[in-house]
Amino acid sequence: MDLEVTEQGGATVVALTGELDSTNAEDVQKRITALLEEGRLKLVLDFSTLDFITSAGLRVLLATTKKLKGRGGELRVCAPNEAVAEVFEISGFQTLLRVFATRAEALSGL
Amino acid sequence: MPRSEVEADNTAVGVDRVTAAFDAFADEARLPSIVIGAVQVVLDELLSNTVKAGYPDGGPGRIEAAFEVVDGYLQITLVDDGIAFDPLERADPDTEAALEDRPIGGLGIYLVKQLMDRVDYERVGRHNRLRLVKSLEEPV
Repeated sequence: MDLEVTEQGGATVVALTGELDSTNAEDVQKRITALLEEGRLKLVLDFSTLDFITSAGLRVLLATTKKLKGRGGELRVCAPNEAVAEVFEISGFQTLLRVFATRAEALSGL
Repeated sequence: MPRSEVEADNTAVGVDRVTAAFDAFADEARLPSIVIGAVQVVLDELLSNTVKAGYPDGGPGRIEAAFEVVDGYLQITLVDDGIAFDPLERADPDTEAALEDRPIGGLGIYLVKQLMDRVDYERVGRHNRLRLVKSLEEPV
């Protein structure tokens, strides 16, 4: 799993490449938590190069959303592929998360 | 009809071996990408469960997987020699719960049931046997 972190329009964009599953969820959680500890409160996760996500990955999204909410920040997710969107839909995360079609839309108004 | 079988240890390396075998099979059988994505999720959920919880005494174990396309259906069989565990007995989580009330457990098995068209479990001797079926036809 590659994480590419960039600053864009006052927000932190993290692009994830590969899969977010039980083998790497803990590591990804640590790296995202480290970003929050640095005081980054506006986070966009760009999933355009994410192949698939499992429940272990959903836990990372849930924990990150809760942490950011507690600090007055916000998590947005953008550009999920069909497989990732289906998992969001089934799990109810579609309504739990703020999901946008593109990175530009996710950054708009954040 | 394309068919592939793989045997692996009950370790993270073994799980990688099974998922790699599926990737090769999916390529050969030219499975649709949405089906590949669904199966990758299902394999991670089920096999990580087996490795994590299936062998509480820590002993070595074996996982077997078979992938086959028959009459427009992908059929997957997963067998392990861990403790008896029927994932279908688990209650479904409340997927409409508010953020604060979201439980952490139970979601993985629920995803498996929803992503596949059919999931059957049986305990055969000292083995857990899961049979999963997914239609390769586009839903109408």
